[in-house]
Amino acid sequence: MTDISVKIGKLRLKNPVMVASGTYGYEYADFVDVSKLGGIVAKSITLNPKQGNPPPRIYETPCGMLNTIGLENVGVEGFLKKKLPKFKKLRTKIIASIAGSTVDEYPKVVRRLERSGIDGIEINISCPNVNEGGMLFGQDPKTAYSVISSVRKVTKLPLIAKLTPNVGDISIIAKAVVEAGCDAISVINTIVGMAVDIEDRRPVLSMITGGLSGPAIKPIALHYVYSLYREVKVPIIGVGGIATAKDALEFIITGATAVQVGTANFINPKVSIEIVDGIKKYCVEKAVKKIGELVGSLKL
Amino acid sequence: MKSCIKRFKVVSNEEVKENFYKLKFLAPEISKLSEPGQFVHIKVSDSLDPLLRRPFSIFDVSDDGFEILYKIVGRGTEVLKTVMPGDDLDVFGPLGNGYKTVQGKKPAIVAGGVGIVSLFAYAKSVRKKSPLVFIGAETESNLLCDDELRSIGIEVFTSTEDGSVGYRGVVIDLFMKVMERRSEMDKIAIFACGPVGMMKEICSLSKKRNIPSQLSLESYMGCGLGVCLGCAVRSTNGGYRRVCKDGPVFSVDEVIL
Repeated sequence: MTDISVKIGKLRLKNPVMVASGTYGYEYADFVDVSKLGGIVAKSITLNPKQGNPPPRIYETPCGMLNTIGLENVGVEGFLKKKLPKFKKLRTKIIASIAGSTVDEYPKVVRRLERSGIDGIEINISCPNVNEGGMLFGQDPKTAYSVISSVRKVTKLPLIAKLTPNVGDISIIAKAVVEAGCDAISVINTIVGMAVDIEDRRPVLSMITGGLSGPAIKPIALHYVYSLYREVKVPIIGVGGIATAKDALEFIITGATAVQVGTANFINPKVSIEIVDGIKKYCVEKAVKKIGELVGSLKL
Repeated sequence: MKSCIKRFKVVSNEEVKENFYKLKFLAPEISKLSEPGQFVHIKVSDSLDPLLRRPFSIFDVSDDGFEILYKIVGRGTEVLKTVMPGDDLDVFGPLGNGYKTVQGKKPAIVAGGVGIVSLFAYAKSVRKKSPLVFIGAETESNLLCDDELRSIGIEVFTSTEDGSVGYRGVVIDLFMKVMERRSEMDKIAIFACGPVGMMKEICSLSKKRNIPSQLSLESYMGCGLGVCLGCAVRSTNGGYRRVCKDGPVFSVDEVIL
């Protein structure tokens, strides 16, 4: 019998496969058995509803996609009323993702979520597509610290800080958020990129730049997990371009306690479940009794 | 709305005009579920590049399957045209909302360029209501479906920008001329799919003349299910609607182009 359950702080997941924020909704329950997932990180919510950015919002690039959705969301009250009741029926762990345009906004949103029955909170300090807050908070260690610590003060729920790769030295940010009291870090959010239409010589995306995701960024994400594994004491959740069980296992072996599947869900709604099955199969074949044996087992 | 994700066998994939291909899937599940105006989201190869699925209007359905008719425009369609009969492809669909019949109004179908592929099945389905179909293209070799619709007794008007066949000019001008001549503008409902400029003109005309129009919109798409929020279009109520889930067919008073 192989045990592939994992612990992220107090949060126990039946397996290490989560789906990344903004890439999954209860809509998928019509096509797959969502209860087989380790957890769902919901689309980021803010204190007030946000309209998001004008189109075009997405554009495909080789083995990847750029997006500038701009945190379109119904706001925390809309989430509690309209979205959360549907998520709760899915029999998997539900992690809310929160974002804000000011530091104060984060604890305000968390206070509303505290007794809603969610299982954890991912703190988005890494969205590259908003003018205020977002990635800016995750690029400065002092601001990153104050966001996480302000949230830590108002909740006992497991906290995951989602970090941006668009920094000089991610370990400085990672250490700051761990010191501020987060229970885990997820790395990485999207990488800032752009594309140009050569016919009219304009940027393809409405906001000029967007966040690059998909298999194109997997080697980069993997390297961030590698470089942080020895630097931080909290569990690392690997995210960035995971599309197969092999990808997920690469992250786990490199040091990720759990993974998140993102863009790949758009292409194949069943992919995350297939990754769970693939990890199980690998563990059985390699006689791995507990998945923890694999975490950080990279031979150097 | 019901849809399925499955690999379906390709029956045929042939060039019907220069740069235009018609691909037929053996897919009774989808043909049973689909309504005119809906689309399918196709993974054109198992490779990571192109990465995302591509949306295609369901062109026509039969008992055992359905067809798409596509123009070669980029990476996705370049790969799709190499698919051989007997291959199977991962298809997700039918998706989105189709055209809705407007009671007491004569359907006026306006298609610009490849837009006719979204409207063809609808035109056939309302054949008994004597629809008027307007199809415009740049030139004769890009003009699609006019003969097929005429052969089943539908009245078709065509335009080409170079005048190689039909009215010389754009399809919206042809439409205006015909409708004014017949003084039927207040008796019709417009069903339109085409380039942004044409669609904008349909919007302003519909508002001015109070015509209940429906527009099928095109967008880059991610998931096709309303999750990624990538295919946004401005809503008249503020904010955005999703082309894949709230559309692709919208009532003219729902969106701002």
